[in-house]
Amino acid sequence: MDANLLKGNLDLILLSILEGGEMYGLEITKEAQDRTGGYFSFSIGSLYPALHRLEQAGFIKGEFRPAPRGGSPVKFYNLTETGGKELKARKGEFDQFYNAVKSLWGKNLRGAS
Amino acid sequence: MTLEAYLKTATKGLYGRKKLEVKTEIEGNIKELALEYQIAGLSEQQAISQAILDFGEAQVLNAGMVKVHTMPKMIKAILLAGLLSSVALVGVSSSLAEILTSSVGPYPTCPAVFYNFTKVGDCSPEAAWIRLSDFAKDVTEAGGTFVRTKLGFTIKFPNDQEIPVPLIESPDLDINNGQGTSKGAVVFQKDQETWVEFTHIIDIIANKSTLPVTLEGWGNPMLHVGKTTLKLAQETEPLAAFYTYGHGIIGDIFRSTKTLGNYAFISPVLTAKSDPILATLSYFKHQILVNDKPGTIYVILTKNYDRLTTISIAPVAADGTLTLWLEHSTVNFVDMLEKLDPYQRMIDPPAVLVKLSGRLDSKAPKLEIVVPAVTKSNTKF
Repeated sequence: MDANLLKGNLDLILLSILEGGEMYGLEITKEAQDRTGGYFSFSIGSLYPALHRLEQAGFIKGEFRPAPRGGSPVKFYNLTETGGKELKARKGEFDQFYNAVKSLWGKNLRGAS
Repeated sequence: MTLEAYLKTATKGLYGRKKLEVKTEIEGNIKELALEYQIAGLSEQQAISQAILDFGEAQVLNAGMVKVHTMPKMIKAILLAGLLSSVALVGVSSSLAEILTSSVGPYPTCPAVFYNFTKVGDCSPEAAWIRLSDFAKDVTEAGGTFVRTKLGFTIKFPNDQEIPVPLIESPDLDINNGQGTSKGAVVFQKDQETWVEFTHIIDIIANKSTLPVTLEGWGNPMLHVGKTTLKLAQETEPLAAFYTYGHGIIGDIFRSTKTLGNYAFISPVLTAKSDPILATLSYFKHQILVNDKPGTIYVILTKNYDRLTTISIAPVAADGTLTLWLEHSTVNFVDMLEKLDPYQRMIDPPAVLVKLSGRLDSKAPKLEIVVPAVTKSNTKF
């Protein structure tokens, strides 16, 4: 997929994934791949700055806990109340954008026929 | 690339707690991924290498993290520095003659963690940096002298001897390990200005001055050299206070007792519940009534094998109490170092509570050990 498309919607993607419950970085990457049949495939390292940015904005909250298999701690992220509102707003925006683009395609099709 | 090298590159340009936080997070996730490769049949080393490859370039991760954490801070610091320059000038003209004020600098662009210098140009962003030209002006206005020399500068307070302060750009020297003295003050150059670490200046003056030297205060530690007081134009990071005490009085304790020392300061600020790293650990809150002047600093020392260990440090609050966080649920306060147990126990270990009020005489050190009458502990944090 187009990297710019992914970059432009990364926040929406991450917030959507975390809507399903708390996860740590590696889990988020896998979840994105699994749920989209591999369509969203991040370079794992690029994910963390985005998570930190969302945390600074107050949309998600991180907490260090031992990894599921034990060993070193990892940071589990949760969607905050503000993050939930933000996600709702972004979903709305995305829907609007998507519908607007779709309507353009419709016009082109009509014009072509 | 080794995991250590990857983490070092990934966290370059991040400061203090944030650096540790990012390092812990990335390390934890890489190890978790490596574990999956190990389960799939790779050796431990192969698994780590593969996990690192999957994470992508460390530089990319680093650039993203710096953009999120460091850049906004730097912009803020630069704006603050501009503001402080004018504040410092006002302070000098209106202050008493013996009070020195110096501007606190912008954080240097070269990152490092204190006591962990690795190369020329590494700095200590948590510490307070002062602009040397402002400092020179303040010293002169307070009746002292300041002269730039080939190696750094010399400073002389009223009725004191001349103190040479070498400036070093390579901090890869024995700054203060509790066993010796400072060899110089670390500097960095920015926009043709020289910035010096305040704690290093304090350390050198405290070691070389012939006048009585005392140190007090927390957020803005003050050094009294005879009748002259050195303080910053504003409060600084709590870590700067740690280092100031570490450089001065606690170093004296280690030297005078001829033991190696460990610093393991736990600050009330750093153990705030919101701290993600420390929140994963268990600490016990201890409240100790000492009825001393607010701002006076106390430290708790225990022994671990042959090492004296400073396990917590805090200032006295307005109600005369100290609030300290320890890994130990209870502590048995004793009245002399000789009563410390050589093996650090987690339950009821002997410890001494020491008041830090001034430099110690190396020939006849007298520790101000306080055995508190009232302590309230065992509050799990």
